[in-house]
Amino acid sequence: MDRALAVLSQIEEDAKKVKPTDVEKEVDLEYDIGLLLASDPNPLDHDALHSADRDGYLQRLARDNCQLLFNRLYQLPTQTKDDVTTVNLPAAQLRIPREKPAPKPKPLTKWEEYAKAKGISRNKKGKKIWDTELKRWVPRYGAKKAQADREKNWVMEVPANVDPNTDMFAKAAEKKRERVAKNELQRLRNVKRNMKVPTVGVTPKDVTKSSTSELTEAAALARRSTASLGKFSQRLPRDAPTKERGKRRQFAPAVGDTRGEVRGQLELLQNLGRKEKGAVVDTEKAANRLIHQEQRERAASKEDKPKKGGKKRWIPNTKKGEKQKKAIAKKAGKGRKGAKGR
Amino acid sequence: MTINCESSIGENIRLLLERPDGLYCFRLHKDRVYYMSEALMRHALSFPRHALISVGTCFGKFTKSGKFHLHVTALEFLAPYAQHKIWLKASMEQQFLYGHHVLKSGLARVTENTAKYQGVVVYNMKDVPLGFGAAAKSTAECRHADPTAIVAFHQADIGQYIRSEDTLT
Repeated sequence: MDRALAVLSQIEEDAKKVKPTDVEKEVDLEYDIGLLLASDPNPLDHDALHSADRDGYLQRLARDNCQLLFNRLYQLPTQTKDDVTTVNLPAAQLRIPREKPAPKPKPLTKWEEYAKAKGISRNKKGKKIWDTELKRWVPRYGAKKAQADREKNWVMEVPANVDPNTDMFAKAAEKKRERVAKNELQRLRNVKRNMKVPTVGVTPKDVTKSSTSELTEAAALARRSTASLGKFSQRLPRDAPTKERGKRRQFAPAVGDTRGEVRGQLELLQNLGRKEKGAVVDTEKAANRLIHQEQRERAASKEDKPKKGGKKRWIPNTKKGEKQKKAIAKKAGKGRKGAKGR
Repeated sequence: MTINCESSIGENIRLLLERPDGLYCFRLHKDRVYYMSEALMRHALSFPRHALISVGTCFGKFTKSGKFHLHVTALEFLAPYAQHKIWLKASMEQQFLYGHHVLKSGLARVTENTAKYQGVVVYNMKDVPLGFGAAAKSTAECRHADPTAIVAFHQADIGQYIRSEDTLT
């Protein structure tokens, strides 16, 4: 009896230590169990907040809300595995914004762009192909396909226009290698097109699209960017020599030896005004003669040209018309003869 | 001094620098060339560069591509020393002062041995200097040109004192 009482009293004491699991709230909380989120819309007790026991009030409030959240958690179906109880959280209902920026769509390859523009869609191809010669299903690619090809091409004809000693098998293999290499090249080109090379400062992002001046500027800058400012940078044999960089315009000081400055300027003038030695030809006379000659030639060529007939007359194909034609021919003949005579 | 200026005055330029009444000098300020006495130049040194607008007389300016353009303000200094001159008829005088080029019909006289594109000083019939120009044709070519051909390109004229009053320095 005493022992039973002792146990009961122990239980009571224990129960008092632990706070009750039921919590009464005016308004129920809003739960998002998937995110382990519980939001309490109940208004805060202002008296308690401004009292001395503010911390205690807030702690009790937090404890109560946590208890309610845990109550909900315990309502979910549990699974035990190796002494560990787990609970499957449902999907989150609240949409949280992205942590990182959204991934950009992969850039289309050259073929894909073309296909999109033309409206060509991909035909889904099967893995095996029916081979009419071998009369069985042959895979489209792979070792079994290569085997089937060898079976089919156990002999290869040498066409008439080719040297009879050529190895047709070797040629076929070579062609295949070329095709593979071309495909690889195009794939790499696609990759290169879309690959973003990290560039700093002046270096252009796309080398193929930048102008010569941009590239030379970048190269010059790279050459200069050493501890010794490019003094010992080796230049490539085909590089163009760079322009000397430094002060482009040198100005003499404003106030200085004015007399000396005047003297220097007058000397400079002397050197400028000096006439060329040995100028024997009188350019004026020569120019005059040439112009006169040109004018005479022009005048002479004008006289030689036959006079263009002013109006074109339609002459009928009759006796009268023939008379008119003869008269005109006579006139023209006279004119020409006259000119030649001179 | 530049070739352009020199070609229009020739060796008489030294008279600009070797003056009896003191030392004169040329100074470049903000792409413009100014001619001033040495005393004035020393006074001008006390001004900060951005505050100084003009000193002495502006002879001309250097363009962005390095060419030198003579301004009309240099006329009174350069006209007495001109070696190649063009005299205009009264009819052409007004046209030139409005900024047009000189046509053959307006040309009264040209000094001998004027080369093509030579800098010239333009005068009117009363020997009043009107401005600067560049001969479009040599003297010989001028004689054979037709009346509507341009014989001298206009570069600066005294009409600019009224037309471009606010832009002259």
